[in-house]
Amino acid sequence: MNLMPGLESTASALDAERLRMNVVAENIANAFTTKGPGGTPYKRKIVDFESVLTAAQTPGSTQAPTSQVNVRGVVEDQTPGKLVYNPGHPDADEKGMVEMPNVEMSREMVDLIVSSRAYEANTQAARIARQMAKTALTIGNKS
Amino acid sequence: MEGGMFTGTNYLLARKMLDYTTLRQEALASNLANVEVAGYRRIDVSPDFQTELNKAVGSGKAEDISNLQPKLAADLTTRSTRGDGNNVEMDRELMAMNSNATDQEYVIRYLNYNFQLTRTAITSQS
Repeated sequence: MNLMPGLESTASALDAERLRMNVVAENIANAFTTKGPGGTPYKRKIVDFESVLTAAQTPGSTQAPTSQVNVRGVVEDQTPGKLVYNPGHPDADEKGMVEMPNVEMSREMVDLIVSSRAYEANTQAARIARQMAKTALTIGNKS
Repeated sequence: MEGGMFTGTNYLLARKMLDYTTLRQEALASNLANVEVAGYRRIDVSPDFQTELNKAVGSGKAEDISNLQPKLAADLTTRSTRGDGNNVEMDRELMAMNSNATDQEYVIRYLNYNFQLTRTAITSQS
């Protein structure tokens, strides 16, 4: 029984946006990690979102289905990072160049802001759905 | 009240509006959840529900109102302002959600008021 309308969609969005915020935080934290566990510079991670239907569409139905958001995967962005001249750096190659992670702070901050706004909007949706359920439960009450 | 309290057109109309607001909240929640997904097209209750409902109320026949079902449809009028084809605007969805919740509250207050009147009439106590 589902008293709160749209609950699955909203819950999926909160999960997905929170994951994205975590991934962006990881990117920002590793913005200067020139040697990761594999010996290569850190590569920024991207979260891949997709829409999935909340319920299988009944065949022959003309109604548009509702969707929830699903994280298809977290992938590494393989764009090469900037090469910086820094011959004193322990990870410098024979020419004195160090490959930095491909993390751009401005882009990560924008992603973080967008993601947290979407998260807030969905908590607002959850609040409104709960309010609607509470109002519906007052039907027939003595006022 | 002709036909009793639960068969009158006003009561059926209120019930239909509750179906409508619940369904609309599901559509708006779906839109908000997918606000960041590339290519997602927003959905809403199909616009002919309002016109059909007005016609059914105008005809005065109770079955017309109860046979009418609100349905969700893809919103074809909103254009995408983003490059990825997603046409959901966060603020617009939130405003629609707020006004939808207010509509639902209005209908429920109307119903409760009518129940209260009936209760007063039956028990002759307010």
